[in-house]
Amino acid sequence: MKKRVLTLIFLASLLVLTTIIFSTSYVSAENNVCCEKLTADLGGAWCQNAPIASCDTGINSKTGQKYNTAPTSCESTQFCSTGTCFDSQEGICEEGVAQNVCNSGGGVWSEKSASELPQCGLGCCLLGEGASFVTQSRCKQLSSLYGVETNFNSGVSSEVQCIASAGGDEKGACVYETGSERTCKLLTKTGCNGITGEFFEGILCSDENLGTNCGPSEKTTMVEGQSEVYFVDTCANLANIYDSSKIKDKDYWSRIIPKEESCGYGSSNADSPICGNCDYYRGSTASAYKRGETAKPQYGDFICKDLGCTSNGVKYEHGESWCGLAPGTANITDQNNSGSYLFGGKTASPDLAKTNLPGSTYTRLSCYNNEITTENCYDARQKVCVQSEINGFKNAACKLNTWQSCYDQKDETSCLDREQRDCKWSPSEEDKKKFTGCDKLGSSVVRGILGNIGAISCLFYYNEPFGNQMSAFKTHGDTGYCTPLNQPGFDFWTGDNNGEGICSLGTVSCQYRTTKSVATGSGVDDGAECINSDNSVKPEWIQAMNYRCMQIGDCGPKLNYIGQPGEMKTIVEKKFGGEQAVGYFVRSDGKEVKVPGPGGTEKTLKFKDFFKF
Amino acid sequence: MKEGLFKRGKNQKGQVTIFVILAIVIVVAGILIYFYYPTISSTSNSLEENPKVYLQNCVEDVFLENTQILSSQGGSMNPTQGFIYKGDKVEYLCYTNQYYDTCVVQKVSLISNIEEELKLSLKQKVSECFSSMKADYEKKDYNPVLKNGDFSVDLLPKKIVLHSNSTLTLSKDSTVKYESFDVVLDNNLYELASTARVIVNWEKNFGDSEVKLLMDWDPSIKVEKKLQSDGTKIYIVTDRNTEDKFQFASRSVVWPPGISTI
Repeated sequence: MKKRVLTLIFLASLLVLTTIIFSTSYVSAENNVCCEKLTADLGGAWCQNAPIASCDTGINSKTGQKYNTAPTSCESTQFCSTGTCFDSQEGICEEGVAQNVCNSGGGVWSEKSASELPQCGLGCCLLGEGASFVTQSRCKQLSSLYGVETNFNSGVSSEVQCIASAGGDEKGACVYETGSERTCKLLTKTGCNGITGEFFEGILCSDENLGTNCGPSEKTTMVEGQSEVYFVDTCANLANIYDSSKIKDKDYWSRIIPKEESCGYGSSNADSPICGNCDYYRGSTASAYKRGETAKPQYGDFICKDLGCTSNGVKYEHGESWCGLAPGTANITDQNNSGSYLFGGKTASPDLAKTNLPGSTYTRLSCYNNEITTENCYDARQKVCVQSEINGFKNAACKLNTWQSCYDQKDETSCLDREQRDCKWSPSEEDKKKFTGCDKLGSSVVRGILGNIGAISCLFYYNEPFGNQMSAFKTHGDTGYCTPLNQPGFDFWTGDNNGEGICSLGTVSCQYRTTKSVATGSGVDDGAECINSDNSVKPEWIQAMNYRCMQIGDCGPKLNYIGQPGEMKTIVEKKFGGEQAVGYFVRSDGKEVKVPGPGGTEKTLKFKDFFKF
Repeated sequence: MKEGLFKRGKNQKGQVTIFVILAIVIVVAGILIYFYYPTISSTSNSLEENPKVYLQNCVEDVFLENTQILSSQGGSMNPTQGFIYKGDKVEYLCYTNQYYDTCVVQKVSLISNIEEELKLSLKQKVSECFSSMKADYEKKDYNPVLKNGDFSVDLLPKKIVLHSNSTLTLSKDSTVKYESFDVVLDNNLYELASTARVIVNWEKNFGDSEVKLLMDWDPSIKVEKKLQSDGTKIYIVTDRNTEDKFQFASRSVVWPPGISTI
């Protein structure tokens, strides 16, 4: 007897993403027009490509003209073309600003780049002790804001050169008389001239040779905008960086000592009771002493506060970042490890049942200024957190998950090209070792020798042994296939964004033919990889297909990131010649599997017992 | 004898009780004075003789409140296009409705815009304050002559200044003329908005920003980036010293789940 085939519907499959992206843009451009402004109920944004009904057709109150629309993309229109916007009030030039946005904001727009516009020419603006690399009009504006004379040098051509030229005059002791007293202030020469004092460059007010009423003290202070702790003299002038060993050192209280020659230079000196040479970039800054929070300084009330953080008992340095262990995500500790992850020091593939689960989002944590902040990388795992370590300093980043073109790769080399995409090739070297002999299964002779048991193990990695099955998710030759390294998520509940489409393209059909004869009994003539002689579907085949399906994305019977199952859905059904299903269904919600039982009933099995990955 | 002793003992106990009560009263009064003295002293000066101080006190609260509202809404008192974040409608300074595209800057000259918004929001209050000031001086037997002039709001480093060109002439025993009025608010909105401008530039050019670089550049500023489900990013820029905040929204290079067909 001849029977015709059955269809086993499974999960996922692939689409050539790049193709879709390009076609998406095309469709989008075809349906949308350029709206100079969206309607108020859509937010009223400027220069958006949207359906014509979304465009504001009212009057622009600033120009008195109707808002424009054009049946093209905004980049091609005049009113939304981008150029340089000059804000004459602030003296700022901004490139890449749409003409109408610039004009409506009171700016002057030009299609030329900033480097071609004389008013946008940059130079060095000296502002007291600081400097800024800005336009001349910006310099005038800043000078006016800071109450200093405009000092603009257009001859300086780089920001580095400009900042290096800042710093103002050297400071020193400015000695002057006040009533019967000879006193002192630490000032610049210009500042000192302002109070008609006698200026001693590089000398501290506490220098006893000056003969003023200022002298050494045990007091310290911190200065806004600087990270160090400083001594102060008895006249409240700043002295050198706090160094407890120099409290009685006359020379240390006489001349200005640079930071580089002060105590503990090159280290953070965090929580040091004796040295106030804090360094923000090494993880410390001056802070008031707080009992229980910081160490107690030997002198004064200020100390270099440690800017590091502690999380779950682990100490992190100021500036360090690391990947969080968000539920349902993989711990990626090496982004350059040939596509594999490092779990506890061992290279392994991510566990499909435990990682990249629906709803999971990678997180990046960072320690900055004694605070830990958590950043969600991106919904649907469109960005994943990767982490590396250099000399013990951890650095994490939310990296774009470039999974879209994985399914289109036909060989291992292009699949694992990390410059282009984040994919994995199956079988991996590790898989090959685990299932010795699978690489030879392309030959039906070898398949015959290994028999069904050996072949079934290899089903996890190959299509080839399945004979005449059909799937959009092609295996390329008998070498393997390419899937996302980190399975993406889909908003499958909305029906948008191809989630369902991508998964359904993974549908696999396996055609079979059974025979019945009085002499030999029931037999399978064709499609033995998926069907038993009693017409039941082989569980191993279901497992293999399910495994492949789950590698595509949020496809197949997965638990979500908090361990909750989804709806009970049919994952396998059997049909006669493309007609109605015949009542053979396998269903699962990710926690349980319901398989056909005796007399048309259903047997319930635990998911983990049925699917053994 | 025993009774006399008892009586004396009783008197002594009574005296001790009185002293204890007195001590408690003194301590409580001391504490109250310590905590409430500044309030008491400021309320006693509610009718200032100096009209400049009067205007500062009259406008200050609304000035601060409006600055805070505006700072939490991306620089607008009434944002037209915004993302609702923790109850605030936060205006987009850079926005695209498309997937994969970089955003279009929605507001240039942010500082000038904020100044204009603040001015509009304070117009009524400033007018009311001048009117009430005039009325108060009339009640105090002055002869005030008020010439209403325009006013401006300027965002400056570390402060916001409301400068009014109104003039007030007060006559009683003698005549004093006040030719301009400044209301000063200590606030770092100028610095915060400048940082926001840098972030918007990055969002426009690259679709994202690296907040750590900004904090390295200026350690006194804290920048938080809160990613929302539709790809909107809420940026919160905070001055670590003053805790002044400025928050705004940006939507740029949005990656939809799966592959977009929109």
